[in-house]
Amino acid sequence: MRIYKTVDKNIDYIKNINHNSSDIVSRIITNNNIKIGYVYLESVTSDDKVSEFLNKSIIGKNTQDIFSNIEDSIYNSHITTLKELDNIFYYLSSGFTVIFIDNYDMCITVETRMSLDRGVSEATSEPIVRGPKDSFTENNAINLGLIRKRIKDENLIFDEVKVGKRTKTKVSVAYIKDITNSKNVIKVIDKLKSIDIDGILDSGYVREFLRDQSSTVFPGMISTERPDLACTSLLDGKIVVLVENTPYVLIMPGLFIDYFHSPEDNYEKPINASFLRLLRILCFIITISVPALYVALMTFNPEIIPDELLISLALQRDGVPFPTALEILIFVIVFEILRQADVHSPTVSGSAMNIVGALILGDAAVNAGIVSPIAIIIVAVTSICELVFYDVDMINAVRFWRIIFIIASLFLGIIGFVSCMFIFVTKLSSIVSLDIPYLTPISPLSTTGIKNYLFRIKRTKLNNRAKYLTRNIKRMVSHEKTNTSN
Amino acid sequence: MKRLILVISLIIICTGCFNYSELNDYAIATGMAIDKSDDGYEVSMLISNSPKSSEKNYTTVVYSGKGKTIYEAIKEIGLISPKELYIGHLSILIISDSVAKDGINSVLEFLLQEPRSKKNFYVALSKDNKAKDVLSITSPLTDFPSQNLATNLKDTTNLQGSISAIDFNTLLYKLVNKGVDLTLNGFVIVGDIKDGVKESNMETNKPASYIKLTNQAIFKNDKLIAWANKNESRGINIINDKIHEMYIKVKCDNGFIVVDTNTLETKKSVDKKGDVTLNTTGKASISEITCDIDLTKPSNIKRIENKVNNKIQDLELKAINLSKKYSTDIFGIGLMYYQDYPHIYNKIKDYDKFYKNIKFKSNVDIKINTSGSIKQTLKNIEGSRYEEDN
Repeated sequence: MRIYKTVDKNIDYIKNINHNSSDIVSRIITNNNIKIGYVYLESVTSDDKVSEFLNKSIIGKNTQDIFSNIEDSIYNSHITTLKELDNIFYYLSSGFTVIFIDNYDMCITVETRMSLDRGVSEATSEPIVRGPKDSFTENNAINLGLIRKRIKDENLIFDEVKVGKRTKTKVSVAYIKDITNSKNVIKVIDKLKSIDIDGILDSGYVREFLRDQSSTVFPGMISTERPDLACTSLLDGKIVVLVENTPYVLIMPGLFIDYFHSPEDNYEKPINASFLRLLRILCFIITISVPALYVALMTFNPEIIPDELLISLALQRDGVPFPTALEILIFVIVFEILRQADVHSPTVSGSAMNIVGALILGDAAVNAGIVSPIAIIIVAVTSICELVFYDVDMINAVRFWRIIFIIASLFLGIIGFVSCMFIFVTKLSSIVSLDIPYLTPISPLSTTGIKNYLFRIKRTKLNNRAKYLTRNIKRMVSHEKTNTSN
Repeated sequence: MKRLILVISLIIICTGCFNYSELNDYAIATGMAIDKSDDGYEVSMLISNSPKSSEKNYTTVVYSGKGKTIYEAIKEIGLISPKELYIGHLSILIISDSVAKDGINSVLEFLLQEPRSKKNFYVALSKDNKAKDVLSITSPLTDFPSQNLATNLKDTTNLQGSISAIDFNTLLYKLVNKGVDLTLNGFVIVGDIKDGVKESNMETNKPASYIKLTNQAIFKNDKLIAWANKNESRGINIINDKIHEMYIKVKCDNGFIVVDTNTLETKKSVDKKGDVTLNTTGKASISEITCDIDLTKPSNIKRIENKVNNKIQDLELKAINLSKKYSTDIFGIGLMYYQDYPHIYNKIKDYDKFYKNIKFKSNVDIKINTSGSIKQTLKNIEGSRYEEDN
């Protein structure tokens, strides 16, 4: 729809489409008998900016060729000229002020956005000891800035897609053009464009549309609030998807091995980082299998337990009214409840939580003979090992499979455990993320992948990027070892 | 997800939780004793997980049952015990000598049949006492009686040289194979049995009674035929290459010299005629001297070495004489001969006679490589300077 030539009609039109919303502010100025009007939404617009920049440039202007005259004299770099009324409300909601002038079927939009964001603060969900402390925010421009200031390369590209019929959320796809596989970029952008939804409020919405298959609990992409992790991934040849209004960005592809990493690994000595990665793998195995193994050994295969331990276990179990599996399941669930309560409770009630958790559920339950001490130890070990992972999706997947393992062991003992392990590994190997098998670099084997991601070898020896992520595998600018200084 | 649900439901349908059992429903038997009773056997089980007292970690109970067969007797225990008997963690089996004299094949049958029993528990005999009593005696040093027996058997192997721990697997190997006969260790009870089974026996620092390992019993087929004495037991162990460390005491002018041998190794070989050569090698260190001898002289060391060699040869000869006396092949010569010359072995009609005529030739070569901390005996260095070592 074309813009009307009279100011009043235009302003009425805008008020009408928003049904006279209370935050619409408009003013009409008559300048040498030519009506100039402007409209903005006071909820997202800074009044100061409007008064400062607009009024000065509108009032008292020469009437000859007034449109370009005003356009040229506004002290603002963010100016667009529109000819259609259709898209006008998007501009208004984004904090723009729209200027209409009589006899012109065009309008000028000026950026007068109010800052509705908190500043860059410390990462809360992924704290590390050593390394950069900043985190992404809810503001898209700041988020892009946090990446841009780390990678000052002309090949770093941000592609923007607007998603959501009503929210019209900006979703930016960041990649380094000469490293990232362009096929994947096209695929991601196509998928983003084909999203049919009324609103996007967090990257969690986008994730469900971006994943390759929906039948797995394992996450196919990493979500992080750390710009340093996003930049490391970009340099490795991955794609980062930034969604407006959320500090959590998505990194694609997210392979199984990536969840055993911490951004800190890159800042520590290689041997320590490799050790920590192996430790996390051990924790994964413990957290997923220990309760199930306990149930299997206690109820089907006590032959495997050493003599003295068996007698001690049998004595501890004596008098507990529940079967072993139920005992473990109850406590696993009780722990999850405790954690949920802890996550969402304000810090004021934290100490009360501690008392309930530590004293009543631990010590008192044992003394009352409801659970055996060993069951508490088992659940405690599993839960502690689970907390090693910082990715919430991974923790959820682990929790899901742990319960499946317990159920399999409950019905079939060690045989059930082993068959469940088969199903688990089969399931893991069938997942793909952006056409890359989930268990890469272990299966299919990739030596550069192992050097980069399973272990972390010395950076001076880390010449290549992983082949499965990028075709441009040379990480170092020059491979030749030159004897510089000394 | 659908497939996963299918798999889980299949797990439930296909099994029905066979052999599911909670651990606290078991009475865990860690020791088993077999005695003779009027009409068959008396089997005793040592149950280790009885939560009788809350202060102590372990308290044990011995249940026994009688029956014509072992299985019957065990089921008899089932009537007494409130929990299901579980023998998967048996750590020791004690057979009384009276049962062993009649043959142990029929006794072991059950343990071999039972799928849940592990095959690596130790087997020993009780000498002159009921096996049940050996099982019941408590020891202040270990937590529960069967553990006491098992560790005693396992750890003493190295000290005296007269003990060799035999587990169920080895026992079956020796019973089933032709050309090798069995030896087993025995336990005796020292002291008063009645006081020994009381729990107070664990609390005093001077136990009223305790169990002691004794010498080896030799078997012919599955029957106990004789007890070896201490020296014969040591000889058996040396020839069978069961021990690698033992002490040897030899006489010298007016006292004794004790040496500790280590890395003791015996290799057996048999020739076509059936004659056996024993090669024993090893190293030794001097532990105690109570006679006048100057260790700084190499010739004296050589003399001690010769004496030790003779002593070991003597021990071996005693063991050989014992086995020839009862014509029981405890060294497994027949098996070796069969493996090397199967055709000749198969032609032998009277193996006992053949065995008695076998000539044993023994070569012993022990080297003394350290002579201890002091080069001379305390008597000899009297009067010389000795600095106090703080």
